[in-house]
Formats: sequence, structure tokens, C-alpha cells
Amino acid sequence: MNLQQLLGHLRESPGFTRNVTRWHTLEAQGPRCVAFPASTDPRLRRALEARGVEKLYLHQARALELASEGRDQVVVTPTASGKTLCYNLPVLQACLEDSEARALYLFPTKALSQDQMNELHGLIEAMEVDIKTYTFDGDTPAAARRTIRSSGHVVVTNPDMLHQGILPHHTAWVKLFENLRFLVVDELHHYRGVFGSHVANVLRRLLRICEFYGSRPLIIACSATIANPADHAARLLGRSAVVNDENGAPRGRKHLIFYNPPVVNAELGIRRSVIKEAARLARPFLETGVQVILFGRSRVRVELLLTYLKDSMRSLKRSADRVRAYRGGYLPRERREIERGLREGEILAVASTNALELGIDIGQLDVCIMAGYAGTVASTWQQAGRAGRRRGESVAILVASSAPLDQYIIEHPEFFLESTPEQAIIDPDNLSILLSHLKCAAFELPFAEGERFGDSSATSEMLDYLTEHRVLSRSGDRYHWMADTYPAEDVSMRSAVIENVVIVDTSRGREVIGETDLLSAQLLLHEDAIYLHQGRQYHVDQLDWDRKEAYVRRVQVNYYTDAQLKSEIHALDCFESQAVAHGEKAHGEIGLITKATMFKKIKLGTHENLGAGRIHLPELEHHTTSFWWTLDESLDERMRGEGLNLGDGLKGLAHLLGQVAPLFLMADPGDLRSIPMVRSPQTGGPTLFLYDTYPGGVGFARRLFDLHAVLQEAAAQRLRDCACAHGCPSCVGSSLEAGSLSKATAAWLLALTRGEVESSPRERMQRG
Amino acid sequence: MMEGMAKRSPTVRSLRDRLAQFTASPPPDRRTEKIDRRAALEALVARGTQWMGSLPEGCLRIEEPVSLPARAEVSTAFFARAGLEDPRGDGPWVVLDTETTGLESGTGTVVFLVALLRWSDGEGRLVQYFLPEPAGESCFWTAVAREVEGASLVISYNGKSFDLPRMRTRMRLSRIGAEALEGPHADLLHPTRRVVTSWLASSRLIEVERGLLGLRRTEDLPGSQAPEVYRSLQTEGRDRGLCAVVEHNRADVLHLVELFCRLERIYCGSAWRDLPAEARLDLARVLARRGEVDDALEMLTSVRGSEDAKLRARAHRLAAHHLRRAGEHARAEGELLAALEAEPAGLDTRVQLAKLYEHRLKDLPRAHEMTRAALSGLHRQREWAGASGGRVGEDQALLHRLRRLERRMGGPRGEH
Ligand SMILES: [Zn+2]
Repeated sequence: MNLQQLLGHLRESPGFTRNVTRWHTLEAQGPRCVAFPASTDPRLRRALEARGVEKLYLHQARALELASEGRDQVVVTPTASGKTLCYNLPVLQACLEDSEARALYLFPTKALSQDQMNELHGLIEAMEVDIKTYTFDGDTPAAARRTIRSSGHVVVTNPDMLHQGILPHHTAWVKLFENLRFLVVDELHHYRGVFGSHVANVLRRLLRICEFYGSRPLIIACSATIANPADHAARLLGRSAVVNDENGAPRGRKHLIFYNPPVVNAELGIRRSVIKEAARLARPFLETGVQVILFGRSRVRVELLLTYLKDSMRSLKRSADRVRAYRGGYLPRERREIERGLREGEILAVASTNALELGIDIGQLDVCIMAGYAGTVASTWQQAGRAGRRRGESVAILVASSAPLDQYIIEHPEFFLESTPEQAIIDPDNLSILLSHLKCAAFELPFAEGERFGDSSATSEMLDYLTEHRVLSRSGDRYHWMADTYPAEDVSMRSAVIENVVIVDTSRGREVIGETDLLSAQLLLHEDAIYLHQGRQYHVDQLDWDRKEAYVRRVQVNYYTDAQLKSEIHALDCFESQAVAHGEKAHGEIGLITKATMFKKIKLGTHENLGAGRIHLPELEHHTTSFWWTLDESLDERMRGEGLNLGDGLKGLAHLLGQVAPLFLMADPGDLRSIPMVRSPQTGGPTLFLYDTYPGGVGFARRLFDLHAVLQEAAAQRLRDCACAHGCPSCVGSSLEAGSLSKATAAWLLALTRGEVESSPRERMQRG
Repeated sequence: MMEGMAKRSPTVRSLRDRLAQFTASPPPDRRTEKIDRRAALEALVARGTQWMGSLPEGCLRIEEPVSLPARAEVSTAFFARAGLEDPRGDGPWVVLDTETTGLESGTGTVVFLVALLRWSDGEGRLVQYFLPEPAGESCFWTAVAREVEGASLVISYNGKSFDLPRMRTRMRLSRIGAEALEGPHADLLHPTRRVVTSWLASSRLIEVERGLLGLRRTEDLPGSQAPEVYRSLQTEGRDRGLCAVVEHNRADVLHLVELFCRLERIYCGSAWRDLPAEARLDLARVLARRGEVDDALEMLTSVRGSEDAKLRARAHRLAAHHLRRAGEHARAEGELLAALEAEPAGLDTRVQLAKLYEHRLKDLPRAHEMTRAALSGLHRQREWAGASGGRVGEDQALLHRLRRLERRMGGPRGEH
């Protein structure tokens, strides 16, 4: 049986199609090409022709054209569209014209940069010219560094290395900076949230140093499809860039199948395990000898997938060695071996984390199965793009987990198929991030009076502040670094500063089963709490706050615990507010103090109060930006009239909005947190806060303010689609915790604020 | 479920308040006005320094004559023996040392004081340049570069990885060419380390001065405080010991000259005799590797007087190694036997002897005897130390040698 027959078979099998929410077929598309521009260096042209590139795709030709006009650009095309030529062409052309020309390539990960080098090396070798390309990262031996600094035409690195290893030593890189003609930033969409906000500042520093050396590199950035490429590029690069998105690459026929595993517990809204389902779906392909790549969201999931796949292979009487796992933490040699095995067909299936989602060369696979939504549409497309290159038929199956995002996507494939609503969001001017990089920049080059760092108007005030703290000193008209530290060392770009509590299961030895941030830990992991993990109950024996570890033990009890959190929001600084139906929306800065005080034990089913206990944990204080939505106070009374409780509704809504918001922000669920307050002292009414967990915020609050109506709409849809009776973790939170009316109340509030419920006459009178 | 606590009045925080939450140190006195460093520089200026330009763009220069030994007294062989670059041309030698605002590499570390001792034939001139504030760097570096220009050799202590890279960096930031720094450079750190590593706690200059040169500093300021003194001048306009920093820097280069001369007498003269036995052994190893076998053997001979039997054994073995390489097998045997006498349990010595008997002296029975002795020694060692005694696979190698010898001698021999 080949792939087509297999697909035909699947279409006919009700056990499969019953769970498919959408089977979408993208038809094959032919290439759209143009001839090489006359100015193309003949050597470059011959090398390309020798590799079968006779003409250029539209976007490649456009890239060359924009580069020759000296315009910065961001190339937005799908996976496997030949986007690397969009920067390799202009760079090689420039190096051929001028042997002094230099280019700096920036990739988010090491593995990826190694792969891009292969293509570049190939072209240079075919041209038989002396263009030197080097990777400069943490693995580069000290002996090679000197050569790279002085003679590398193309230097490939990552933001971390640029930040710590190159910029603070720029005087050793004079050759590069004096002659830097191109800055290539690939996987632009990857630089978002906290990491992106850091990278934007690293680029500010880079361009500032270039200016010192009298160069002004042209920027060629590449991004997966996002809703705001131009805007994101402008914020990240600090320059406006032309969007080059007319994709001329061909593609084969592709099936996108949205698969929702069957419900096994309707009350709790629990579905069959996404991992087992994904592995089960892979089986017929393995049987037919069709290559499959499976994606799991975490290392643990990937290892589980691997176990199930190996079982399948054994039961099919095939070698279990032909399925492999691929994830971070493997040695480069192992990774190369797996990549080769895939290209050469030795390996039949690979289970991977998103490590393989980026453009690592593994050849053409036929089938991609995603065990869970990748978190963003852009990542999902990149994962799906691992199956099927330019010709032939291919399949991508998205298997949903019970998580709210997954459930939303699976019920609304159009979210995925139509133009993406996802925005990459950063805030380069987040004060703590900005301050860190301002220090680094001052270490690298003295600041002139009146000089601005990026477009931050606060630069001179911040420089004065650092001068008062003896970090800088003023001499003549400049600010000089005067501390005896290396500021780049103190900045961690990839991880948020927020600490996590590690959850250790002591039932059988000592097994780490997860981790959670401090805010949640107060509520869920206090001593004597019943902690729920994957449907299992654990008793928290001890919470070691200093070591940030919680020790839990498997139990079976007939109650759950509900902790009371006292929270105080102070120093509310409203940046913007606007009236909306039955309330007001706003965003601004908040100071947040939370403290868990006591908890209740509540009997499952009857909700009887079985007792209570005190919680002894310190207060947590947090400054960040938040979006908030205040409802009219009068709603309370009206809802009571309808037999509803405003508190239940707010709590449910908070959970729901916290779950759907990441859809639009390319955020991880942990990046946002919500607090419902029946009566907020600051706003004077029932208020729902949705705030950025990173201190100071990285721009989510502002976007949520803009997206308020869209969020309401998505939340209402999620509620309608959810198969549960009274609320579950996929919508308003478990009915056990949120109350049995929570779902109905949240739905009523949404309907009212979206204008689907008539206002009562009394309210109309009050409004005048 | 959330509930509100007491209401606090909303406040709009200033940028300064918001910045404060990221800074560990307590808020200092507001000091936004420009700092006048003139008063703080008075003591230094009174010391006979001379202004080049004026604040803020100028720098200070301090000059004095120094009497130095004639360069002709320095053996030309010294540089090669000590593993140093040879001088190029007849220009002066420049002994150099810097003070910086920190130990970090990278562009942000300011070099604020440079001592340059110009050593021409028989006469010397010590010049120090001090940077009163960073705005004077252009003037400062132009002067420093001019002072180094034409030098046939730069002499430093750890200058290869510390002083020179930092100087180059700051010169580049001031757009001053650093070509003057690219000539031959004798960094005394490595030749010094070789002779002190076995008996001094570290090879920091201060330690070497005390241990090797017998010098004691009478300064009131340790060098590690220099950065803070300079930072006080820059950020507060206070003099917290600038003269002491300058004096420290001055002493550094003067002591460097002494170190240079002492090393020359150790590597080329007879001053090595004053070193501890272990240091002599280290030095012998270095010299022998550089082909100075006779001198090395002489040093090793001197170690024989040591009371440390292990050390004596090492000296004999090292001598044997080089004698064997020179083809003097009989003398090598004598050295190894002496080593065995000094350290009867010496496994290495027995193995060396076995090899010598088998391959050079062609005395198979004695080779066999030595190998057996080594093997039983190894077994004894293992009884004490468990499997960790001896090197991995050593017993296999010895057994292999034993078998081979037995084969070559025609059948097993021994007890019967
Ligand atoms: Zn639900």
C-alpha cells in the first residue's frame, strides 16, 4: 500500500473520521519564477545552475532587488520555500564584488546555524572562490577564534554569543564591524516575548557599534507567517523593513487533518491521551514503510512517544532501532546521525521536540503527526512543513490534547487555515531589560550626552541614574563605564527571572513530576494541599520555600483543597482606558502583592466543607503591566436576580480568558496570569486582571487591550464548543473548583457584554 | 478566590522609583552636576608631575631617571633559553605595567595609569602617564604610543594576556593606532612560573618579589585597591590614595627589571644554585628540552644533595632519560640504579631499567629480572591500594613484556 491508498483507506474508516473535525486539502501549486537579474555574478549563477537552480522564485528575485536598492527587508514565506537563498544570494554577490565585504548571520539556535552553513559552503565550494564562512558559538575552539575574527567573510552566530562573546569585545572584531554589509536575522518570529525583547536590545547594541566603525549593514530578516511581520520587524530591528512575502516556490498536494481524540470522561472533559493516540495513528504508516515525524511538546512526551512507537515496531516484526527520538540535550554527533538516517531512509520514524521544527535538513518526509498543538500557528505550520517538500503528496495530522488551546484550534481549524491572527509581541523598552542592555552598551562604548539608545526617550535620565550609582562616570561630554564588572554576564536572555517550584513525588523514591511558578505554588502546593496532576491526587507533605521544592505523595481521598489568596493591587498607573459595554477596559502598570492565607477541604460531589487550615507562606510582590476589564457594579444585583453569582462568573471568565489569550499573542500559557476581583479597590468595581508574568511586562497587556473584543469572541466560542457539562479545565476551569454554575455564568456575562442579552430597564435608566 | 485588602492610594511612580527596584544598592546622594576632579588631583600634581594639555582632555606625565645595568651584560642566549622573543633592532627596551579599573576583559575596562621604563644602553628613564579622566584618553594614548614607538623589546609580566590587550582595546576606542605595541614582547610570566611553581604559593608578581627576589614593598596600598581609588576620583571627585597607586605602579616596573635580571642569571648564570632542589629539577627539564643537556645535567647533579629521596630519584631518572637519548647507555644505567637506590620501590625506575636492558644494553636476563621485580612491585601496590594502584593496563603491559622476554630467551625461566 502506498500513501495515497492509505489515505483512501483512512477516509473510509469511520473509527478515524469520527474524530476528524476537518480534513483540509491544499492543492499542489506550480512554481513562479523569473530569470536571474543581469547583474548576477556569472560564477554565482553557474554554481546555482549546477545545483539545478535555473531561475529564481519570485521572492528570491525580489530579495536580490531590494538588497540592490539598499532597502531592509523581512522575507515571509513558508517552510521549504528556498528562503535561505533570499539572503545567501545578496551576501555572496556582495562578497564576490568586494573581498572585504562581511556579513553576520544570526540564528536562534546552534543546531540550526550549523545546517545553514552546509548550503552556504556548498555554493562557495562550487564557485571555487575564497569566501570564508565560520560559525562562532560556545563550541568554537579558542584557537580558531582569532582567525574567525579577522578573516571570516560570513560569521554565523546566535544572539547569546553576540551578546556575551562578541559585542563586549568588539575591538577584536574590527575587520567585521568596519566592513559589515549585511545583517541576516533568520526565524524572526522566534524572537518574541522576553527573549525577543532582549534580542531587540542586543541588535540596538550591534547597530550602535557598527555606527562607531562607520558601517551600516543592510538587514535581511526571515520570518514564518505571523500577523504583524512589518511591525514586529520594526520593533525588533529598530528600522522599518519592506515585507517580501510573494512566495514563488512550488508545493505538493498536502492533507491537513484535525483530529480530536474521543472523550473518555465527559464530566471532567477528559479525552484519550494525545500521546497514545498520536502513536496509534502512526502505526499504519509504519506498517506501509512510510516515513513519519512526530512532534511532542516536551522531552517527556517525546520519550513516551518513542516507547509506544518502538512497541508498534516490535509488534509489526520490524526493528525497533528504526524509530528514534530527537531533542535538545543530545550530542551534536547523535543529532547529525539521526538527521542522516532520516535523509537516507534508514530511520522510519522520529519523535521530536520542536528542535526539528526549524530548518534543519532532514530531507523529505511524507507524514507529520503533531501530538498536541505546538503553541503557535507559526510553529504548527513549521512542524507540518516537515512533511512534504516541493512535490508529491504529504499529510500532516494535528492531534489535540485536552488543553484549552488545543481544543480551541481543533474546533476552529479556520483559525489555523485563514490568515493568521498571531502577533509576535515584544517590548524592547521593558525597564529591567532596557536597563540591563543600556549597561552593556555603556560598557561597549561610552555614551555621548544626548545620545539615544534605540528609540528610548528615557536614555539620558537612565544614564544619569547609573552615574549616581557610580556605574558610569561623566567626563567631558560622555558617560564612561566605571564599574569593575562585566555587565553582559548578569543578563539571562532566555529565561524569565521568575523562579519556579519543583514538584517532587516521593511515593516511589524521588521523581520530579513537574514545576510551577511561585504564584501558583502558593495556591496549589501549600502544605496539606491536594495537588492534582494528570488526573491523579497528590498530598503535599512539605513545601520548602527556600529550596523551592514541594514534596508530594500519591493519595486517594474524597476531597479537594481550595486556598484563599489575599491579593492587593497597588500603585495602579493607568496608561489608557476606554468604555466598553457594561464596563470599562484599560491597561497600565500594577504592583501586586499576593499571600495565601488559609485553605478549605471540600468534599467531592457534595461540596461539603470538611475543615480548614492555615497557610504560612511569605508575601510575594510583583511589578508588571496588566490589562483589566471592569464590569458595572450594578451587574451584581441583577445577576442575583437571575440566580447567578458574579464571583463565579468572574472566576470562570478569568480562567477562560487566561487560556484563550495566548492564541493571539504567541505567548506560552505561563506568560500570562489572571486575577478576578469581585470588588477592586482601585477600579471600584468587579474587575478581571490579565497581567504579564514577566516583571515590567513585555507588551502583552497593551495588545490584550486592543484585542478585547476578539478575546471575548474567542472565549464565547470556546464555551460553546466545550463538550463538558458545567465547566472543565479546557474552559472555565474544573467545575469542582469553579462551582457548578461557573460555566453558565461566564457564558451569560459574555453574552451580555457582547450585546447578545438585553440590558434590563433599570440599567438603561441608570445609564441615562 | 480573590478578595481585596486595604486600599492604598494609587501613585504614579517616577522612572527613578521604577529603576530603583532593579538596583541592589541604596539610593545615593543625588549627584547630577559634573564632578570637578581638579582638587582631588592636587597631591598628585604636587609630586612633580607635569600636565600635558588640561582638564578634561589632558593627561599627567611623571618622569625620573633610573640607573640600570648595561644591556650588554644580558646574555643574548637568555631569550631563547627562557622561551622569550628576541629583541629586534637597537631601540630601547621598554618595561611596561598598567593599572586598570578592573580585571574584566572587554572594552569597558579603563586603563588609567601606564608605567614605561625605557632601558637604553646603561641608562634608564621611567615615565608614568596618568589619565585624570576618560575624556583625556586621546592625549594619554598618543603619549603612551609615542613612548613605546621604536622599542626593540617590550618587557612585561603577564602583559600578553592582560596589559597589552586592554591597551589595544582602549587605543582602538580612542582611534589611536596600536602598531607600536606589536613589536617583540618578552612576557616574564612563563619563565618565572617555571622556576617558582614548585615552591611558591602563586606566581603573582607580589609573591615572586617576596619569594624569589627577597623584596618587601613598603607601600600603604595593595594593588588590588587601585581600581577603587580611581573610581572614587571619577565618581566622587575624591583622592583616596592616588599617589600610593602611582607609587605602586612605579614599583612594579622597577621590580620587573630586577626580576628580568634575576631570571637572566638563573637561566644563563649560576643563580639557579640558590633555587630549591625541586625548582632546579623543573628548570633542568625545561633546559634539557631546549637542547641544553649539559647544563641540565649539572643542575640535576646538584639535586643529589637533596634530603628528599623521591626528588633524588626523579633527578636520576630525568638524567637517565636524557643520557639515553644522547646514546650514553652506561651512564644512563648508572643513573637509574642510583634512582633505584634512592627509591627502592620505584616502579617507573624498574620499567625504565627493563627497557634499557632489553633494547639498548641487550641484557635480556637482567631485563627479565627487572620486569619481574616491577610486576611483583605492582602487585604489592595493588594489595595496598586496590585496583587503583598503578596505571590502567600497566600490569598487562608488564606481563606482555615478560612473555616477550621469555620467548626471546627461549622458554620460561625463574623459580625452578
Ligand atoms: Zn469545558
